[in-house]
Amino acid sequence: MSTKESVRDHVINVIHELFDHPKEQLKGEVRLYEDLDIDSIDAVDMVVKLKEITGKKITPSDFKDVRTLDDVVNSVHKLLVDGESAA
Amino acid sequence: MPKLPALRTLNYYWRVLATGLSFAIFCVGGILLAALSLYVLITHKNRADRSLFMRKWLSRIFRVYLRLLRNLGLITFEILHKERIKPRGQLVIANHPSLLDVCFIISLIEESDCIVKEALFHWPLTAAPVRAANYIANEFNGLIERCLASLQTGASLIIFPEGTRSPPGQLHPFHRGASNIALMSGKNITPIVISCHPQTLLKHQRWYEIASSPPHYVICIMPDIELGQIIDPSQLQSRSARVLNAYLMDYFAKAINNPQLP
Repeated sequence: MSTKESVRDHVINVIHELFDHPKEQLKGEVRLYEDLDIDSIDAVDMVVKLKEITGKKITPSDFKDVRTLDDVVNSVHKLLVDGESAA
Repeated sequence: MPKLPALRTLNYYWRVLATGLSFAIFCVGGILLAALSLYVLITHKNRADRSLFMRKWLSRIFRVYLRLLRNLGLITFEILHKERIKPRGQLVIANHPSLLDVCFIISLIEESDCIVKEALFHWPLTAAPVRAANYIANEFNGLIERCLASLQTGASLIIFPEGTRSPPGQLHPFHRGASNIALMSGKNITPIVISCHPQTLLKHQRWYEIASSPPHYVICIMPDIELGQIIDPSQLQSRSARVLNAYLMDYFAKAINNPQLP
């Protein structure tokens, strides 16, 4: 069972690695577009990285309504939990 | 020398008058251009033919307009390294100190596509020309794909990465779109550095607030920036785009303050 906290660590690592934002800045309520300057092309790369880590199929449309870092964590967590309950 | 200030004043009033005149010509020209564009929109059904035709005409019209402004004594300009412009297929980025920048660049290129402000698609005088030329609105959904497709047809693509006019003597931060387009198309970037002294037609200025001497434009076409020299191909695009964008901002920040351009 993946905990939300481990998902959060993954997400923070990915954003830090891809976009060089200091980890202290990557709080839950931080907004991807406005605060972190992550655009749609960046989002695609982020999805690729998250896919590698989680081993789940993630499509950019899973992130359609994502605004903040918390939203990303919740979406990825939900995908993982749904995947486990289906398996 | 008491006569000199009087002469200067006379020259100044002439230029106010001529400035008004040039705006009038711009408006009348704009109406004629809108009429021509409407005609083109109606008669040329094939979108590719139509945009090619319109882009070539815009290039000629702007060339004539700029010469007219020069002959009226309203501006002076020099264009350096014209030989670096190819008629088609280039990815051109430029800083944006004045309203005339886009006229200069389009006048140099035979077939140019251009990212323009969304509002130009709705203003009465500009709607028909930008539509007939099939220019790209900056808020278009799928902007990047549209730009890539345009480059693939062989047109040159003009982007002002600041997205709006530069603040006097400075630059706005660049949007990453131009960098992403370069990375995705694999095209080298042809930078055009534009300077205009004294500054004129600023956003907050009225049309009659002209400088004490006519503005002098220098349009310098720079050598291509080769992506391979800047980008590590093993990196993901999102990271490369940030590296390239930072490089471009630094490049332009140095270039606009350097009168001795290569």
